[in-house]
Amino acid sequence: MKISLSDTVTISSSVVFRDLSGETVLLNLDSGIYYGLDEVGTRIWHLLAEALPLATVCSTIQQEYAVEPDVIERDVLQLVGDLCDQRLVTRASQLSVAAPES
Amino acid sequence: MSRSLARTSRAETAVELLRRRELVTVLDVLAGHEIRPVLLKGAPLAYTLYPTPSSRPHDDVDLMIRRSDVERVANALSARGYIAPTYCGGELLFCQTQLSRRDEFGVSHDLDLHWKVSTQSVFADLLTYDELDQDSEPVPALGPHARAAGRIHALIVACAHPVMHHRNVERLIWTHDVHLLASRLTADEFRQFALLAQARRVGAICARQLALARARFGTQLPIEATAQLATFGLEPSTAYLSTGRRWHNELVSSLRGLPDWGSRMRLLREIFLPSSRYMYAAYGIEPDDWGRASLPGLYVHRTVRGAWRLVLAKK
Repeated sequence: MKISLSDTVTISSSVVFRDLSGETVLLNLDSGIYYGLDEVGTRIWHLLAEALPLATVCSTIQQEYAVEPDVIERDVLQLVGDLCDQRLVTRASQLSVAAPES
Repeated sequence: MSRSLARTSRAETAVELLRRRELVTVLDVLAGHEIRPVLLKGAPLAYTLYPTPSSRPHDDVDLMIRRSDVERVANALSARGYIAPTYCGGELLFCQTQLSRRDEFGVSHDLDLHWKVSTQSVFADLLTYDELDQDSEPVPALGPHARAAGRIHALIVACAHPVMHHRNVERLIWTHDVHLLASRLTADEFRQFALLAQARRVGAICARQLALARARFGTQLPIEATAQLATFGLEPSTAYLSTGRRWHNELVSSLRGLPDWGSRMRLLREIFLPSSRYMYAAYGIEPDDWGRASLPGLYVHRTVRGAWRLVLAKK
């Protein structure tokens, strides 16, 4: 299922991670495969660890980095999609979105 | 170059994450058997002194335990796949044993179980398990059961380690440990450290390691306590500060450090007549009739080979 901004993700229980001079190393204990996140990826990872909705993650990143919102949304969704594919995070829930008024 | 270093750094961090997880589990298992090891040297220092644990590499984990707990530790960890290599043996020769396992990712986990802080008799009773246990400090990063040598004891061990186990070779990583450990002591703790070093007769060794730390890293040391360290009299351990020491020098020092002739004879027997189990493994021979018949010849061969290496200065 495609990830959307209304989703929240949780870090998989089989993942351990450590900050490393601005980067983060993620290790999937199930597969033994490790991954590196750069500075921005590390910031996003820490926001994900707080179980914030992806929309909030995007708005926080936008406040911290002077980048167009659509670029941030695209990059965050792509990163989270990759993290899901690698089973480093799992889609936890979808925020209830108010139905448009008729 | 920088990319390669970054890759190596990530890989080492991943290995460290696995080793940390394993150590936390091991300490949990031991706590379940009411065994309370005290962590020494690299592993606890990595998690208490360094910004990232992988920046203080260490191959094995040193655990100080009671002599009477050795078998219990081995039994408790055997279910987790830990085994003792064949070369371990000798009550006086090693004063320690090793347990190892390789995990599902191929990473090896080696535990050095010490019941004395050193294999060298001169240093063996530098700090006992009870002393280390009493002043131990928690290491929360390694789980609820992790305890490491206290601040003063850790500095004593860090100062003595290169001298008692590595023939006084200087390695920057060990000097940096000394720098970080010394830097976190208060003036009062440093006075206690100097008094303890004096009482345990390793004052000159500690003075030497602290001088190195100051020269390499500019370690700030309390003048009074440093002066006190420098005024110690002749200590048996100062022999270990000589350069170019070799195997036989260590042996003579160890023999001198033992309290009686019975112990000295036992040490010599452990060196020159190791267990038959060790000999079979070392020579790759099965312990069958032929192996047993070969044993005397193997002992002679081993002794002659060792003597020859000594003559060639390869030992």
